[in-house]
Amino acid sequence: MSFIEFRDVSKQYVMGEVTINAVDGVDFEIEEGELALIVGSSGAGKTTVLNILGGMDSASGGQVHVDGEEITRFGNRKLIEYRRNQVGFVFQFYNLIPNLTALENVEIATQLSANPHQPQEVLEQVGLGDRLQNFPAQLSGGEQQRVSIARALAKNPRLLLCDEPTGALDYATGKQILQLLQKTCKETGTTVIIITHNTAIEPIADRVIRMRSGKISKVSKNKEPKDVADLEW
Amino acid sequence: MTKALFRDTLRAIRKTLSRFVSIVIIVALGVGFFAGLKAVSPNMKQAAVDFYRQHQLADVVVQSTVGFDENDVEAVLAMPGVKSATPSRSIDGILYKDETQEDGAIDMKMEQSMSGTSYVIRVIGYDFSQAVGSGSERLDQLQLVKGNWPSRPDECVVSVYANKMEPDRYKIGNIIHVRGDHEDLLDTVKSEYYKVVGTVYTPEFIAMELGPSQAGGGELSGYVYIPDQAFKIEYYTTLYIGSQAAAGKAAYTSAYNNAVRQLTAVIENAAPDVVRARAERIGDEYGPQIEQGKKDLETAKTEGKAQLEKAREDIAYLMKMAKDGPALFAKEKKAAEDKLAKAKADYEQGQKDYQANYAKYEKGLEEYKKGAELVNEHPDAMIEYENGKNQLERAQNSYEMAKMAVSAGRSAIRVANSAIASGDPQRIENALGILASYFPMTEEDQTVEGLQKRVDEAEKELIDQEAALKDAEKDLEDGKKQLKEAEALIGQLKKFQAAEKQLRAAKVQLDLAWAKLQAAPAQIEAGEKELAVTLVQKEKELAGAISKSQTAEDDLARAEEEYKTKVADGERKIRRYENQMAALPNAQWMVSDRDDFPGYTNYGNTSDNMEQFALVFPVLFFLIAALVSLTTMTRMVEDERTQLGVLKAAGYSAGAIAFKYLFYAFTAGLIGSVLGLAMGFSLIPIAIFKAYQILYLIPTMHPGFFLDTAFVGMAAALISTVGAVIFSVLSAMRHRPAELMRPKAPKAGKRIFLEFFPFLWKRLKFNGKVTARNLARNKKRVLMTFAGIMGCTALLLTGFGIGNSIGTMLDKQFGPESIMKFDGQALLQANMKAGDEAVLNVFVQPGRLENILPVYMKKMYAGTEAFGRQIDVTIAVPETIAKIPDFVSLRGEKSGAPITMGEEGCYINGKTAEMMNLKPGDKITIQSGAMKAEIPVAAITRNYVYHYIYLSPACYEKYFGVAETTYNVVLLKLNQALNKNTGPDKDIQAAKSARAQLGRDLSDTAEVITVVYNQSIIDSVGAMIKIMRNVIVAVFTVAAGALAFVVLYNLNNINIYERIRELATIKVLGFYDKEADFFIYRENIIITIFGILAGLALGVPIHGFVIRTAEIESMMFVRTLALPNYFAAAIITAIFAIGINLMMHKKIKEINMVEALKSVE
Repeated sequence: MSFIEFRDVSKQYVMGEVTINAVDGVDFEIEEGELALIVGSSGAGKTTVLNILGGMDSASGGQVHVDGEEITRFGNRKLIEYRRNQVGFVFQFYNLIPNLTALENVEIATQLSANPHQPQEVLEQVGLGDRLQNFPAQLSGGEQQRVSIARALAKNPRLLLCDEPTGALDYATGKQILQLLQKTCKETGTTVIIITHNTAIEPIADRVIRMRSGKISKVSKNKEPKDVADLEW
Repeated sequence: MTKALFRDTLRAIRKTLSRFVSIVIIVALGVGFFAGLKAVSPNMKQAAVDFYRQHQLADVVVQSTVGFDENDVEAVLAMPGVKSATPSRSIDGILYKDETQEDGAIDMKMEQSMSGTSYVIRVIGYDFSQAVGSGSERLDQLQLVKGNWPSRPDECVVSVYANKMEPDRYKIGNIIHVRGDHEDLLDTVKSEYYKVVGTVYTPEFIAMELGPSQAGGGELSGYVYIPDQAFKIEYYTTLYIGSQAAAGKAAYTSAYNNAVRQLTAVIENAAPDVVRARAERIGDEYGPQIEQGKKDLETAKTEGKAQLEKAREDIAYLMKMAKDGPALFAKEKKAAEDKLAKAKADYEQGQKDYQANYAKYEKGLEEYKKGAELVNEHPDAMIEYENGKNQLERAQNSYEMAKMAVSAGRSAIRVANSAIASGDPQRIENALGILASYFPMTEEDQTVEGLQKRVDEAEKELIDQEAALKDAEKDLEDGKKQLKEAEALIGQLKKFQAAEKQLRAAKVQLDLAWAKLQAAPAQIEAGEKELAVTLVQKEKELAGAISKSQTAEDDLARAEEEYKTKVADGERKIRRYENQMAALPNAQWMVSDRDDFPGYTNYGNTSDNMEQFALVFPVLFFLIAALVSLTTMTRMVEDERTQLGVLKAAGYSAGAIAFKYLFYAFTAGLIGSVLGLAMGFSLIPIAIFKAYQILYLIPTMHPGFFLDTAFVGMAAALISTVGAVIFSVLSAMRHRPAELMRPKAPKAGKRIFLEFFPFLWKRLKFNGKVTARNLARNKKRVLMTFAGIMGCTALLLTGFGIGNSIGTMLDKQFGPESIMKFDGQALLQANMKAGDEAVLNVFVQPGRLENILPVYMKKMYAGTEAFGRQIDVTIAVPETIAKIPDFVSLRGEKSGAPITMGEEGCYINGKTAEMMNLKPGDKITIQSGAMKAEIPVAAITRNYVYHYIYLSPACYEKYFGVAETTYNVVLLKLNQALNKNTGPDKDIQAAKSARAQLGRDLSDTAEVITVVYNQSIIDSVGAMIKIMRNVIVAVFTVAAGALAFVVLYNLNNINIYERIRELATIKVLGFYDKEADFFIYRENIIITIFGILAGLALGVPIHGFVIRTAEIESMMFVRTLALPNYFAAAIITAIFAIGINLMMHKKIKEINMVEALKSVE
């Protein structure tokens, strides 16, 4: 069994009288330690998939297995524990807490985890060793996103979920972030799943899952993924 | 304002409805409390004034120690300023409860009042044709509420209040039983039983406390109205007087008080003359009655004694019976048995006798038979014998005659011979005469010769006769011999006859004996039977006698008891009448005005107090309303910055743009005000009035609308809401449109002050740091939350503090270890001089009274020139100032240090000193009528209720120019046993009844009018105070709760709204619900703790302020707070805060992570 398995997962939103099928019959697998991309245009249902996988949203049907456990059957508390111990999130808009310093923003996550990394070390790893005491407002977008990644990694998660991590960043910064994520995946063996609408970065992933209109259109595997540094887009 | 803007405003309201509503609520609370509390006093007073008018409440009530008659009424009506006068009769009795026992006997039990003494009930006469609406001029009119007016002397109406509070007693249809206290009620009225037939409103008793009574324990517990015709007495007991000048004036105003004060003075001045006349009129009436009473009592005594004596004898007999019974019984039994044995012996003897007698009889019969034969042989013997005997007797007689004739002849011859011999013719003649009677004679014989011749012849004849006599004698002898022979036979015959008779009698007797012998065995048997029956009966009688003697003993004991009480009652009655007679020279009127009516003054004070609170509360609410409006409006303006910018860019003027927010705030303020006024003017006065209806019998109140109050309240509300908007809009308007259109950058995090102290900062845990920074980030909101909590705590502390201040006042004044250390006071009939043994002896009550102190007490007026007016004070002049510490604890007003009373100067209470700004050494003017003195203040003493000024007799005499102080009151210190107020209920009850008994005994004496105990003051006023305290605490708690709710809810809402992304993020990170809650709660907890601490600090001065403003002139509340007050305030605030945080939990839990994180606006 794969590390992550989606089996016929669907999600409907009821908006007044209209029912929207956000995702419908999604099936895919991701192996442990892989860097996976979920690619599709906006509205394709990628974020919904990520939310369900991250335990932030529940599926309307189907099963999701993570490391052999069926998270679609978890109750509220087990879901929180799952988020707390297994998953790290990186958001498009960083979602740092404004009145906490970079270090504190990481600490807020590490204090939850059973087996965390040293916050300071993680921040040093992401290249922010000299910005520990800065507040988010004092950091650039890329720096903020790195804090965000550091926050996610510091928990020592088995699964890192990134929702358009470069969406709000310029090319160079975005590239740095992707590099960081790839490096993390390789060096720590963390399973990293990135959501993006940018098909150009597909070669960096071990596995690419393409989505369209709430369905999987294609799943492909790169035998030899490219290093982010080597890729131009 | 364009239509679009208007619509936009409405939409804004709809969108932010919860905020809008919270502004409306806080404004409504502020305005409502302000208007409501402000309206309480005028409403309550108006209700009372209407009620008094409708019922024509008397202005002055006069009572007399000697009652009133028509002359008195006329005298009063003639006084200037008197509009009307209504005399009335009443009597105070004791309420009893009749319980029918199983055996049908009725057991009468004395009912108890709430304070545990006997239940004194006043029976008041009333002419029911003069009720409210009858157009009568009568004062103190009744109004029928339910049922009917009484039509019989044994029917009554009761007050609606009593009917409501004590339904078991005063239900319509119930029968109540009233008995006299010292006297027979039937001396005064026609019935002891009254059926309740209706309920009425009366202006006479408007409060729960009904005032004093001379009966029972000294306090009145109930009253009923009965037809005036049901009274037997001629005189009146009470005189209600209406004032001309006060007629148009509203009660509780100074105009009214002044008018009445004038009338009171007039009446008091005229009283001595009127009362003296009345005393003289009744003086004659009493004397003979008392004499008669004494006589009756003596008779009753003698009769009673005789009856008892008889009963005692009976018992002695029975006792003896019971005691000697067994011996007596044995003796009687023995006698009866002996008798029976004797009867048996007799029977046996009788049988023997009979047999012997019968043998004798048979022998007699034998002899008789022999006799019978003899009789047969001589059938005529008897007759012959009788004939012979008769013949013999006749012969004997003849012989005797003849013999006598011979002897007489011979003596005649002898006479004749001697006559012849004498030759005396006379003698011869006589002899011839004698001789002639024996012998025939002729004429010629009547000579001597003739005589001689005759004698010779007679001689011869006589010799013949003597010879014949000799023959007769011989015959006679023979006859006698024959008769003697016959006599023997006759004797035998006679004997036989006697024997026959005897025999016959013996036979009869034998027969009788036989019959008797025949009956004897049956008789003996019957005797035996009877004996047995008698014995059983006697045995029973004996047993009966024993038990009888016991019940008889009990009966006797009871009878003796009854006799004793009867005699004691009678003696007491007589003593009372005598005392009354003795008191006649001291007869006086007690003139009271409405201030003395039970409940009247308290009612006024109560309503005034409420007005004072009106000033404290709402200010706080308005302040909070302004703050809440400010936050809400700022939030709203912040949320709509972009729109503001667009509008500004579009060229709308600042005013036009601001108008939306102004309109928003104005609408909220207006709606809040109107709601507040509507509810405040109705709900609060009604609620408070309803609460006080537990204490006061003012039936209805019509809540009024007070324009000035409404205006002030509304203005304050609008200023605080609209002002807040102006402030926040203006600060936003300073920005340029472009700035406004950009989203306002989230407040950047920054270092806080605390971080510059690393040694502190490092100690903080991570969560602590976050909290500290959050607190620093939103200073405004934090401050307001803090203010809300602080206000809540301060309000609660104030509320509980007032409760404490009012609640403990009585205890501190009258309770154990308090200021008034004496337990009661006896009011004297006449003032006594110092050391007056006659009076003091009355109070020698071993085991009941520990100590006494005569005091001169008088209500006077005190003031200073600077103070500008006078207040009511009571001066107290103790006979012995050295004894004061045992009776009154004089302590320094502030220090509490004991003060020793000296001879010089007066000792005034703290409140008086405070009002007049007096220090020791200053002078105070004390006045009563023409008596006036300016006295230096010696010290200021602690006191809570009323104003007391203590003076030594020397000081009193010196400054008032009195020659010698006389004392009208005796302070009493009870024995421990009579003063128990804690411990088992039984002991408390026993102490209560012992106190009541002492009160009765003292007031029965000629010296004492009445006795009042401090405990009964505590009991009666205590109930009122408890309600007052509960009302206040409830009002404060509700207000504090409302405040805490509105402020905390609103601010927390805004807090969560502003930090929704933060909360969503931490939830995604895996915060449990609780951890997420505490992300918010932690700051709240800290604010709450600091808010509570600050509130406790703030509450102290607020409480002080409220207490001082709420204080009425005649009282000084306890101004300190008790430790439990602080705890209660803190804990209740914490509970409110926790409650609101729990409500927030739901909000936090419901935050949708996905939605919240979707995008930045």
